[in-house]
Amino acid sequence: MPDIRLENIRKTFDEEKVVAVDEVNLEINDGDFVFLLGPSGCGKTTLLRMISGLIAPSRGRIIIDGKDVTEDPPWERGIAFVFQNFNIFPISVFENCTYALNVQGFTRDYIIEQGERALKIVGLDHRADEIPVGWGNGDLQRLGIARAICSGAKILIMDEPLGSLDPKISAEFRWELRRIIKDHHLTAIQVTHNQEEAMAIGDHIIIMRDGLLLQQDTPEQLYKYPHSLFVGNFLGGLNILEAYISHYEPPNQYSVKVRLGGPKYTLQSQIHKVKLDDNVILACRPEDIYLFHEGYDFERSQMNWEGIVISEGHITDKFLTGKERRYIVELDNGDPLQISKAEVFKYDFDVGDALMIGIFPEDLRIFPYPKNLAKEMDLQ
Amino acid sequence: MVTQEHRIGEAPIIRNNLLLRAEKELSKKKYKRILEIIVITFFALIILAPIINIISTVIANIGEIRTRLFFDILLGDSQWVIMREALWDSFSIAFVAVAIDVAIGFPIAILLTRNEFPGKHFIDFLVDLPMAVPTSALGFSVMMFWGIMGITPGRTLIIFVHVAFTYPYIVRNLKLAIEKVDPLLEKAAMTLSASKMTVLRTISLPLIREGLIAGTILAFTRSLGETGATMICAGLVETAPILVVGLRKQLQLPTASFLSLVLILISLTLLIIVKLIARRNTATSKFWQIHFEWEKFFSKSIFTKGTKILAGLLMTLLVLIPSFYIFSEIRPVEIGVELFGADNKWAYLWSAVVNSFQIGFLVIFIDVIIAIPFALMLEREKWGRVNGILDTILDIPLIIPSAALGFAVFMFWGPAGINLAQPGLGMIIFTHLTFTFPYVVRPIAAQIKNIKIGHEEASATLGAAPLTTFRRITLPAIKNGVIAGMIAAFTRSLGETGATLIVMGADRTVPVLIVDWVEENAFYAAALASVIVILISALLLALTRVFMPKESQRL
Repeated sequence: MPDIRLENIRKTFDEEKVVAVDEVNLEINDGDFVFLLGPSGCGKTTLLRMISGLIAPSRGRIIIDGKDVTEDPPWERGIAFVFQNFNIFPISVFENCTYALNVQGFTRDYIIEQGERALKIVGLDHRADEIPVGWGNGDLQRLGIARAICSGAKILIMDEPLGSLDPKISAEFRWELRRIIKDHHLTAIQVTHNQEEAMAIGDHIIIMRDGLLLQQDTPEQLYKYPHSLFVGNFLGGLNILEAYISHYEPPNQYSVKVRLGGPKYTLQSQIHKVKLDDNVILACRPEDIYLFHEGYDFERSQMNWEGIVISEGHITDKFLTGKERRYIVELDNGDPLQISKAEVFKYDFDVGDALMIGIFPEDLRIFPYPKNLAKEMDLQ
Repeated sequence: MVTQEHRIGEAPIIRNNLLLRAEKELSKKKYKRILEIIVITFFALIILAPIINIISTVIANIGEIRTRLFFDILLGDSQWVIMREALWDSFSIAFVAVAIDVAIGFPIAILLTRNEFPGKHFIDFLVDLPMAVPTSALGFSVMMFWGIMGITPGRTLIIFVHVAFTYPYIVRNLKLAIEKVDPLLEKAAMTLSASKMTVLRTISLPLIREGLIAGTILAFTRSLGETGATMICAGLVETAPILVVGLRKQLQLPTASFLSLVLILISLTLLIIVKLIARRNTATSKFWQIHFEWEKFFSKSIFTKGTKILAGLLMTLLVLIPSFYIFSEIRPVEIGVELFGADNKWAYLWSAVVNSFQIGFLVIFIDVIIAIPFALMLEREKWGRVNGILDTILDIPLIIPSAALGFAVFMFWGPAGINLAQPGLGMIIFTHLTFTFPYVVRPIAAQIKNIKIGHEEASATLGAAPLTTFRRITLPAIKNGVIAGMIAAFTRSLGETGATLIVMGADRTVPVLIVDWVEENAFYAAALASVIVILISALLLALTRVFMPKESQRL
């Protein structure tokens, strides 16, 4: 099982005017299922195409299985590519599936054996003789995946393979895809626009923006400890509060005061070194905020609310997304917060209700105040 | 669950699969360079060299040309006067013919795109046919038809025959342009209370203006450069291409070079105009309040329908009936007498047919070998300006008068130039290669444009070397374009008269034979030869329509 290593990969277009990928270093281990995520135009597809050899990097090295393949053409890299628009050839299903073995000169018996096996895996064995014209997107991509596995390549590169599929089909298909990849011990890289899909089935996620690799981590680490506001907001959304450091106790204990008379939190931060009086952003996930009716008795609660910091506010809007209820709350200092609660959440609040808003300081993350806050929070 | 693994190293590969191994080896960059050099050299030698050579010939002989034209001891400037008259005739005839084309072509183009009626496809086919038929056969048919109406060879007859074969160029280009106009735009304008004529002037015309101008210029250059039909219908009139043929026969090479160069330069100017128009993409129209009432009046269906009916009648009279009149002139007995008479015309006809086919097949065979890589280079290589320049040069042979082109080829390859070929079949092949090459390249290039790059990328990532990808993915995808291009080139080669007349030796092709027989008044035999080539062309056109992607039917 091969690993993939990129060293200082850079790609520019239009005579250096457009930088698509900028000095990317990354390592993908044997058998990992890695997702590349990022806004449109962040360079993720370009990166994918460089790994597969469809385009050449302007600079840097690509190493697959310990071998420098930077100069190798795609047909000699031992990879298989699954496309968003499938690129199924206008020939029979079986010929499509066994194309790679055919063009590499395998024996006939072997081709038939492998082709039947691959088609069976994706459930298309009974349609082997059809010409896949007018097929639905789901079936076309099944064939695309069968064609890729049948090639015998140990690295699977997928550019939004489920992007053209109906959302419901795609949500089911993703588990099947993961199972196939794991069963065959493939190293897989997938570009997607769907954060949920990446969180659900990826072993690792790589976040890119403007050609730069921002963070590579497991889904859980990324979600809990994003290195930047952008990464945090990109994966699942963040509430942000403008604040400043009111007290600092080495090595990493900070007291942070929300502006305009907002609450004060004391917490530890490992990631960002900030100084006393620095402007910062405090961020937390919508599901990490708790709501209480006025006069809620914390003493008599069965839950352990120790350490929670309470501030006051009122509900300005609420809506139901299906599996969750969302509240828009305005703190007394004017800061808005989005809060999400599972739909089974016991209490309901109405617009205009005054209430207590509780946040555990350990759920908060401190980020240095960015140069351009709007850009940091822009997901496009 | 199947978890069995296979690795390429252990799997049973056929090591000596020669084809795949050869393809892999030949996919290397150095071979690609070699191919590129061969293709570009072919292109430069076949298309560019003769034209550049004619320029240098004229420059080298400018003194002699001046003397011959203006200060000849015996003739004074009469050569120049003849040349001037010929150019004037060519221009005025082309102008009138194209004006008639547009007048009766416009309503028909609208009829064929916006209306549905039984037999539409057949009419469409008939309108296109005169473009595919060898012009000398067409010219003979037109001459016979108007002959019974009392019109003898001369300027009027030339105009009639030019209308017949240039008409399809106008209608086809207009049709392509009109098809691109979204009918909803016109409907939207009508809901905004514009009458049909107002919509035509303010919405449709500005949108199809480019198609109209492109078609007009193509028809104009075609008329300007035609030889075969013109010779049959000219009587004593000499148009410029006929004069080139005449000068070549009298071996007045410097003068003929000069006239060829003039024709080439005029055509190039027109080509550049077409290219510039094609690049402009905005169309504006002015609203003149004053027109609305009149336009409303003329939008009544009696006028719109009346125009279409009138245009249909005129088209039938000027184009369709004259073009195919020859079928009614088939007289088996008289043909038999002429064909099997003392001079054994049958043998001539047979050898001319064989020659035409041999030339045609050899030409498209060579064309297609070069045209496929050329089309790929044209569409795929990122050479910046070079692609645009190659693209423009490619159109040159289409647009310059074939007699001038033939003369340029004669001067380059023949005894006066590098002396590689003598007038005869060999030189005919060189000439036909020149003007058929773009016909093969265009539809292939159009198909390549439509290929999904993704298919080729998929093939590459699945381990196919570029040549393997080409054989298994690209070639099947452009197959129709290749076939269509070959048929178009074959049709063109089969129908050429002017260039062939200039570079031939003793051997005849069918169109030239028709000209010969008309000149010696062997009308029945000429009718038979005409009918044969018209039928072959009709068959080829029908085949083209099956294979050819519509967009590339442009020229």
